[in-house]
Amino acid sequence: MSSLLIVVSSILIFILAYATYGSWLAKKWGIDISRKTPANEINDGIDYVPTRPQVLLGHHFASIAGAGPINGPIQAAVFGWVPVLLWIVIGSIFFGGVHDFGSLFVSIRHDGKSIGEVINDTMGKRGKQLFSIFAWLTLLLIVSAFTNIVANTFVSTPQAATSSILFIILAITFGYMTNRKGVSLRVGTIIGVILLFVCVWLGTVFPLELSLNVWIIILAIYIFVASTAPVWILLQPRDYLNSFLLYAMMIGAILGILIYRPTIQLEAFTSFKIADGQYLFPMLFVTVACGAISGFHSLVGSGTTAKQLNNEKDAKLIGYGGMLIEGALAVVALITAAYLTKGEFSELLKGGPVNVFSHGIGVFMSKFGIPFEVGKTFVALAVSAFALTSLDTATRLGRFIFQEYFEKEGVEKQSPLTNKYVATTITVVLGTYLATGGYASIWPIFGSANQLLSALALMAVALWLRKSRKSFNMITIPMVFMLIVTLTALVFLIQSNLAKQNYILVIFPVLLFILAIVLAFSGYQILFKKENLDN
Amino acid sequence: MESIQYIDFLKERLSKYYDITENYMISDINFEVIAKCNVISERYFFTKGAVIDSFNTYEYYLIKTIDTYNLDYFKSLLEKIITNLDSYEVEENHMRTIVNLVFLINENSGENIENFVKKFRYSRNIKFGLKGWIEASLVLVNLKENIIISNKKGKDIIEFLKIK
Repeated sequence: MSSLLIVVSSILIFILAYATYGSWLAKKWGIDISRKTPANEINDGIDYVPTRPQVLLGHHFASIAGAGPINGPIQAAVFGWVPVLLWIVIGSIFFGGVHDFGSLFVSIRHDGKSIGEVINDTMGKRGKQLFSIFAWLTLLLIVSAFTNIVANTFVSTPQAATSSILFIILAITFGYMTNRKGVSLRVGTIIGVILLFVCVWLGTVFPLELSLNVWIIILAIYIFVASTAPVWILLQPRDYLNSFLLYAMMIGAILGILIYRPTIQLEAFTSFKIADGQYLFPMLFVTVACGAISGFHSLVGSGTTAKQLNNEKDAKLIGYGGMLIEGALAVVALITAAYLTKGEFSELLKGGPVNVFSHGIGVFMSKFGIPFEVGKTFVALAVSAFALTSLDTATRLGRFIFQEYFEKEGVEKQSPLTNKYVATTITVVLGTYLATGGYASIWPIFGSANQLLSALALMAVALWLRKSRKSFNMITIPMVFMLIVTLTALVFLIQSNLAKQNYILVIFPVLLFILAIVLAFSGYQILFKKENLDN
Repeated sequence: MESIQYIDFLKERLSKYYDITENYMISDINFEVIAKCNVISERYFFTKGAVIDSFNTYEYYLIKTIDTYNLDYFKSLLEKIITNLDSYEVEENHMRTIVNLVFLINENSGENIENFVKKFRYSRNIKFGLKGWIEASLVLVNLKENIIISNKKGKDIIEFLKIK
């Protein structure tokens, strides 16, 4: 089967879903084009700023898209490409789209508060404490998973390691020149982007080959420095340059598929069980998160996007449309695995999902004249850059939550655990220690935590719909399904890690399981007990 | 244009984004107007209380009319200001402070002062740049002839200071 057919038909289905199901949701939820949004109501010129929908869609998409939609589909392709494709398409339309659109809409109707704040408002003190523990554990898993992904990428594509180090130096220099030396942003950007491609080329000439564990240690040091250094020195200029990497990568990937039109060679379906404890249900649904439904989206998107929405009608384009675009990106990622033979896929997957993806896009781009080595290095650099952004953001957040948890109000002498460097060290050391266990062990636990969050966000949307005396049937199935997925996946993860005597990796699923049960029970009480209706 | 009128014009223009204080003393120098703008850039997650990272930038306008057109007097004035800038303390998330020194004159100040203004440069890294930096621009507004002279850094604000 032609991959072009898969990509084009998926996009057509997404467009059709946008016009039909998206519009139906908007109608059911009561999108009101005459109602003032928080951006227009408050309009403080700082957070609340009415923004054109096209611009806002760009910001929103850049926030929700990271390495997630790339890793999940490739890793899950071991079940065959058909179940992954079906989950991406059905998940994006009926699960993720509803989740993102609903979170955004609820946020607008709560003065632009993020879905996190909405959840916080409904959970009480005990719930908040549980949620802090849950958030910190999830962030540790993110640190661990992304450290592993980047380290694996650097081992399998040493050219990308050199490029990434040079890219960091370039970003610091770019920030210094534009901030301190008065170089205009336009001139700086042109030179910066040119030098970025020079970094890619230098990477191909001087590949840096080190072992996985050495890279994990180097990355741990990097994360510590990057997450404690002032944000404007490295992170801000690096994130700015990153956006150009993303645009170039997406253009290259789509052009490559259009020109090359690779044929699908991977098996359509392999088996319901691929290893002990590795069943299609629930593993597929926790592995493919960002490309189908991801709880992370509700936190990232709703807080800032809702404050900038100019009109309620734009919520459909940004919330629902944004998720469908991410679904399309996940389909492209799947193609990079599905066009390979089973043997090639298994071999490349040993270097991690990014290795499969960068190899695939590198091959596609070579069809319009980009040398394979350059193309592959460029894609590996781009994905690593995004993973590094996720890494230091997660570390900063983890540190913040850790400090806040131990802070006592009105006490002058605080515990050493509230110290910035102590909290960062604990987060980095634990996160990177977990990384040594391998991404294949970590990713499903991270996926479960992420999907638990999605169930929780859907619960918040359902709660609001119920309070507004509107039907929440479209939420019930995704919410219940995601809870069942989470609980089943956690049971399997506890079993398999117990069998491997990997006790540290048992602790996480056990804690998440308890949290899931507590939260599901609270949600049930709030949603289905009559007396809560008017609270 | 009289300096009072021009100061009113600047106050009006600055008032949108700056906090304005009138007749403020720094050392023994009286500034007719001091305007301060503090921009906090931050990313937060989950709730507004959960700030992932943030940085602060400050911009000041120190506006004073002078009527003594003597280079030594002008230099001593700036020395006092620079002494103050050298002891400027910053908070944890400080990135940049820009101090715009705007002196208003009602007649030609002479070539010496003009050359001094053009060559003036002040920039200081705080804790090797890890706590950001502070820099100053120096601008001379000749209200009589409607001419603005500045140092290199001051060129950024010339358009803002022009009466349109």
